[in-house]
Amino acid sequence: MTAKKSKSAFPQGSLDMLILKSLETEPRHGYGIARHLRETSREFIQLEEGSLYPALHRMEKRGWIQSEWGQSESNRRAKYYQLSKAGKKQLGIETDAWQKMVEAIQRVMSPVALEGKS
Amino acid sequence: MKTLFPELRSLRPAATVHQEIDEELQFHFDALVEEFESDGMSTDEATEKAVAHFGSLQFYDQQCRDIAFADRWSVSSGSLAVCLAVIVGCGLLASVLAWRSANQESQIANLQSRVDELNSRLVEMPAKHIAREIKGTIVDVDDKPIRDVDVMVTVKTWPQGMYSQVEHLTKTDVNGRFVLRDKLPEFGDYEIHVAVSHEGLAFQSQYLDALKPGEHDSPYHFFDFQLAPSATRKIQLLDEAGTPLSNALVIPSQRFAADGRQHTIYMQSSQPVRQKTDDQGYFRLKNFGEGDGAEIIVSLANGWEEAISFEADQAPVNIRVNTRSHVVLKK
Repeated sequence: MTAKKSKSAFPQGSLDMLILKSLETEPRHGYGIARHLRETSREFIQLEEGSLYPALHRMEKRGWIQSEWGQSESNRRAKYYQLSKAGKKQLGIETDAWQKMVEAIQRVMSPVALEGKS
Repeated sequence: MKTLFPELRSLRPAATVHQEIDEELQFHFDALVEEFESDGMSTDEATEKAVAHFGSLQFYDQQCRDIAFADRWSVSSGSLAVCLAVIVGCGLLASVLAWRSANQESQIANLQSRVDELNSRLVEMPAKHIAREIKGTIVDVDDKPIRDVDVMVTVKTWPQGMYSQVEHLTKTDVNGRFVLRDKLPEFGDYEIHVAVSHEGLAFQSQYLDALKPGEHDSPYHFFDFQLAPSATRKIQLLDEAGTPLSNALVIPSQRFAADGRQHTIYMQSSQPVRQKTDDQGYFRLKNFGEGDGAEIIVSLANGWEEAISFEADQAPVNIRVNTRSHVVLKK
């Protein structure tokens, strides 16, 4: 039996972090970010891809990312986003918080497994 | 420069911001369609899957616009407001310092309240735009977008005091959206009439009058329609001798809906709804609701033309005409 794929198959509030992480290595347009999330999560993350844009525009207003129009692989004009300094810092903050959250949940779910680590 | 000062982006013209949002979202949507087509799907299948993957273009488009304009006015009123705020702020600051030196704390409090009041008035100042686009969405009674709806837009203007009427035809996209750009005048009053029709649905129209460039709350005029199912009626057209009139042009021009509203299609823009009678003089009155009244324009090849109307719940089984313009409706 395979896991049922759901469009809400990732935790609420983590979209910003996933977008920032997608932009860590290279600038991408919205479709590129969506595709990166799909492929690196092995199709597990199935978000409604339009929901990326309000998040991207909000994050740009906060100064976490910057955008520039460029040429896409299909020779069409596309808007590319890249991380700003503030975005790199924010990614660090969100990654740290995420890891703490995962550890905390892990402690609740499998207290014995983590005993030796603490 | 805009990268160094991202706030400068928020001073770009609203129409540019809107166009860029549209373009950005459309690029993503088209890329999805291409991706699914390259997986072997037909264009229709790929488009359907892209809609499911992307969600509502209109919804996310609007969300992005809300974010873009959440903390600004349009360029003209925004700049003006900023200048006013700076001037007023400087003046009041100077006054505050003067009062401070005089140790008049209560007057400072009064000034502060005036600043607050001015700020609140500025925030309430509505943005004004020159509308560049006519756009809208069309859904069915279940709020599902309808694609390929015929949209007939008529723009009326009065350049140099002369009346002008220009018709534009377009169709809705897969998300039930339509948009016409750069069809509106930059100077002078204008009016917009939009009529929409689709097979199996009752046609509707909306009208905006007394419009003036530069006095709108948004850079576009938005029309949304919800279309209800229609009931097709078969009606025979006869001449004065009772002979069927074949090949007569029939143009539905008015729909008198059961709810009392009147919907109009202008004759010039009525290509999608006009039809001809068959060999037996029959035509189908489509795009009307059950029990609606109607006005139709009948044209014969010899130049005879007549507007024929009937009230709600009075749909005739045949219409008898003669070339002297006498019309008899037979129930």
